[in-house]
Amino acid sequence: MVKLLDEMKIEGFKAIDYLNLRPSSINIITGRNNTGKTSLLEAINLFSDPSSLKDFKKNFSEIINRKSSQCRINGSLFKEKKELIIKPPKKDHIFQYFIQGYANFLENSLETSWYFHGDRKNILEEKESRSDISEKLKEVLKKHLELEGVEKALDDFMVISIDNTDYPFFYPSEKSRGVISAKRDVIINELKEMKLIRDNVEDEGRFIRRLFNFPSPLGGQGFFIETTPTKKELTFIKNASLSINDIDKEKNAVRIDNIEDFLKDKNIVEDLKDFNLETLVFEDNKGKYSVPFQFMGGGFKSIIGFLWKLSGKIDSEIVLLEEPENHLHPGYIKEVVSFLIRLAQEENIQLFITTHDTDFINELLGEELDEEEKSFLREEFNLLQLKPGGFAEKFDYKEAETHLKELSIDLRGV
Amino acid sequence: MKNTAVFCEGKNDIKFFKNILEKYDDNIHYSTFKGEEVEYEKLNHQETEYVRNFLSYDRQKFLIKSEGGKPNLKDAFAHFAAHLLQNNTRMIVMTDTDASQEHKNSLHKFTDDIKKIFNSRHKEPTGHTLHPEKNINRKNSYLLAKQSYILNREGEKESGFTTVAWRESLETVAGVKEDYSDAEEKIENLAQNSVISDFFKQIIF
Repeated sequence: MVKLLDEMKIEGFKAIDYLNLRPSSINIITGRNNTGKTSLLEAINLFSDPSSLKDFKKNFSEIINRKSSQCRINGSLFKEKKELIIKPPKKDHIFQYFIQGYANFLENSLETSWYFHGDRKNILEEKESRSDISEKLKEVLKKHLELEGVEKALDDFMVISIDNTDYPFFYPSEKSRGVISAKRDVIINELKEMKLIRDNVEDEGRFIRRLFNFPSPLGGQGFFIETTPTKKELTFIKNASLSINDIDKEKNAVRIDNIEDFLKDKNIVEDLKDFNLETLVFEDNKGKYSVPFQFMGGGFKSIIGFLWKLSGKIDSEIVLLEEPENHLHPGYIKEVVSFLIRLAQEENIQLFITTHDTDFINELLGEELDEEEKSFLREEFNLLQLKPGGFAEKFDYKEAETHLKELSIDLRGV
Repeated sequence: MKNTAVFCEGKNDIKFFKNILEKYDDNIHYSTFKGEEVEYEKLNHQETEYVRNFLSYDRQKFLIKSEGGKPNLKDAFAHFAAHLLQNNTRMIVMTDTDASQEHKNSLHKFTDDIKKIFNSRHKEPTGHTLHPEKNINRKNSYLLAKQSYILNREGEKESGFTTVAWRESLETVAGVKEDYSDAEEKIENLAQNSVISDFFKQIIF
């Protein structure tokens, strides 16, 4: 089968000092806590979608391993060689990044109607467009900020370099706020002189607070200062929770129908007659009765969540699954395992799955699988056990079977 | 004294090692695991459980485990070595030499086999490799011993372990009958042989 992520080398990323992968279609990642399982999924996610740097929020600068000066991920993704480096910015770029980043921040803030609701028409000159304001602000900042002061905000920046193209990233924290606040008065006066701010506004203080207190970015995320790097399709499932109110049931009728078929086919719940995301109808020898979806147990909702998130996948996609066993009864694990194998086999979905669950591993290596599934796994299975101290051990299907069944070794690690 | 994990081929090796330990220290805490005596259905990760417990309790100074033959011994040791070295555990592998080869060459082949297994599963992901020394660093008329090291990607030594090999086999040296009916007694006597016990004393204590 075509490997979407064919090879990958990770250096200096979070808990991972160095890790070299040659993935299969189904990749199981085990190991004790803090050995790098989640870091590995995050590295794959970042490699495929560099904008996911934003997801680390204020901890974005911590993703470079303490022993390293930069993080490097390279490999082959969708048959294209790629190199991604995450590094601190050069000091002589900070001034430009800060001014551009702050101007972008303001411009984006102005675009968000709720954010400046009421202030904009009262305070800003109507004739000014957002980009004009941004340009003028840049001029003022260039004039009044000093390199030495701006360097105090060095930790608020990171650069992602993809195949030698730099994408600077900015997470304005207290440090950046301090840089701006130190020049508050001179900047305000200059903005007034430039007629950027109206004279005699009713609530200038509110505007000034928003402008100069430099609040954290919306949603607590940073942003790319210039362009945002492009991404390849990938799904990262960290939990199976499903917000059914956000789902358009009519548009997703086929998807819901497919889940119903699966539930009935695998007998996930007994006597199921009809399923939708509002109500389940059952029929036993006493007749029909209905149960609201919300009244169903957590385990059942989790399996529906998984089925929902996975059933919408298109062909040839990478899916990262973090501990799919959570909240699932062992009786459901078997069905989830079968479902995942089918997904990899029939839809060419490449799976990276972290797990602490013996049931999950036993199902993958157990006798319950049919010969076709086993035959697929013998070719397309890989288990990577991450060990303390930066060690890792990889097993193909046969090796994993031998270690589990003949040597009585726990593939989750010691 | 460092905590020590001893990997052996069979249950007679465990008997012998217990006798050696008790000869020098009656109060020493150790546990044993006989991998070859547990049925698959009942295994349930027991091998890992023993290692996990050993690493968790500092009071337990020795873990002596047998694997049921050379192939399993090599596989199991190659798996657990990286876990054990994290706790600064001393590691000893005990084996018999192959009667069809010169004793020295048989020991070298044994450590080369462990190297191949370890490297085949660890080298690609993280660059860790196992390097057996070329020299036999300790020997007498019954036993041979050599050192091997685990190196990181930069070629730095992370840890080492000792492989001890019987010239021929424990049972042959002890003169155990083919039906093992006198194994207990003969192995106990063997542990009292000062040439042999001194050899282990120097490695262990």
